[in-house]
Amino acid sequence: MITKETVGRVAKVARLNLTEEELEKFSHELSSIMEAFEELKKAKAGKEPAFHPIVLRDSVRADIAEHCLTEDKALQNAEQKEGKFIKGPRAV
Amino acid sequence: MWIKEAQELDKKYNIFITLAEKAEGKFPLAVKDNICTDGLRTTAGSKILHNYIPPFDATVVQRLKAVGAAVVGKTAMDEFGFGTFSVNCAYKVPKNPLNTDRSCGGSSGGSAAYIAASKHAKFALGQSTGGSISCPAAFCGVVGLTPTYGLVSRYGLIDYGNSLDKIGLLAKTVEDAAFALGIIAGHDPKDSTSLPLERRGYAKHCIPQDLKIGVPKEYFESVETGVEKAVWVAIKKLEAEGIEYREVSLPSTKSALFSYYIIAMCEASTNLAKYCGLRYGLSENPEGRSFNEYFSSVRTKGFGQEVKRRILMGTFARMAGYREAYYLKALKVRANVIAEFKRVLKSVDVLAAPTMPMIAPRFSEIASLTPLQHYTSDVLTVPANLAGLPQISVPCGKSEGMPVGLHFIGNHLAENKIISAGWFAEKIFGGKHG
Repeated sequence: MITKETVGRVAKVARLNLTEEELEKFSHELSSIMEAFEELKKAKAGKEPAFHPIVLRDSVRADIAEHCLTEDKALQNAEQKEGKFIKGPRAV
Repeated sequence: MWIKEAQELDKKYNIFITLAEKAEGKFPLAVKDNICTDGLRTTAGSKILHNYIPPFDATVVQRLKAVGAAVVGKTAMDEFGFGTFSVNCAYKVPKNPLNTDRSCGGSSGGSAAYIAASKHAKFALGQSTGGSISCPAAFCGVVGLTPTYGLVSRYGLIDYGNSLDKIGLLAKTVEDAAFALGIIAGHDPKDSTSLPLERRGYAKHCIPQDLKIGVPKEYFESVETGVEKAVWVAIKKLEAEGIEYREVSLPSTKSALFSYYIIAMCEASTNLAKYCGLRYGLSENPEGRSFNEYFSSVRTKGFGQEVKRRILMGTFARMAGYREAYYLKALKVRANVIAEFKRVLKSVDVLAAPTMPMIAPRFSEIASLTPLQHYTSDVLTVPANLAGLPQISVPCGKSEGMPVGLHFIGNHLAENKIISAGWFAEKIFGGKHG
């Protein structure tokens, strides 16, 4: 059972504001979903976790500057900005 | 001409989230809305990206433009790809061109509907995490090709689950899909998970081969009778043409579903942490707000219900005390699922099964499903996606007047085998080559 309190705690970590109704609804839904997912505990498993479906090699390249976005393009989608800076909430 | 057709189809079937103003090139191309297109709005079906104009093309788009593709628009999808029926949409819900009371499948629903309805387009770009190409292909009666994980660059794809996402194709015919795969496949240094393989053609593999087919018995549990019948008729037709089949077993099919959802939700909740209303997308006035207050406010307004549900579940499964039981266990179950597929694919070339357990459901039927019932609808497409195996869905018959898909699944990088199987099946079932 995932209680309303647990949903609230998870929502806070995930930076979501939930209404009382949503807390109630998600508590029920998540409980039934996670209950079904309990089957996973009995499932046959490999020894090592498969983080990817295929074996990947580290991908590296020479440390040489390459073409990247211009300042204008990098800023074109930010609505809150001042000059060449993106404006955010106060940090301190 | 292509834009005019796209506009008309959009009016009828809600296919596009954004239409291009002009499309000049050698052929029209519709692109799923989670694949970036330079200068053309890309929302991933979410309000949180309602104003995002990418300053670059995804590698797949760049490669297709280089051979003459003209992007006609960005197709409707479940928000961030979170859905099976293209109903978790922040914009319009696309309709199945074969019956507008029914879903066109998800999450690449708009791309499949466009291919089903367009007179001009031969293929469109889709993307699959757990079956989002095969499902809409089956529901709309078109071909859906999902390549091996890592064969096609993900650069410029708006992530859902990094270890699961594959860009692929919805197409009129197997040959069209194979042709397009030859253009988009191959190594891309901009994607660190891209396999170090040269670009090559696939269409030349469209010749019948002496294929051995395995039919997994678990893939017929909980399948609608009409779908089961159509698929068996199709397999028997192939047998009559000399394609051998034998029954095989994949006992981890059900646990693959749970493993997939845990991994997908964990990865999604991490990926979606980047939407904080600063660099792009939905934003608010940050004056007088704390960081957390600001992020929470933007995210709460920008994300839909299914997105919130998956973020919550993914965050929960990664939290201290649960990580070992859910996330790590899911990854180990995945290792077993991959090993099981590899074992079976030693004795047969490809697997054949129904693509989806049902025909395209009516919107009224979808409305009564619980979230868990939505997730379990993916039981047949999820295992191969979890294992990163290539798949092709080919229309093989009808049930209640709606198309049924036959799914061919191959080993890693055995695209040639599934394409051959698909091409031959299409020919036998009376597709374009019939």
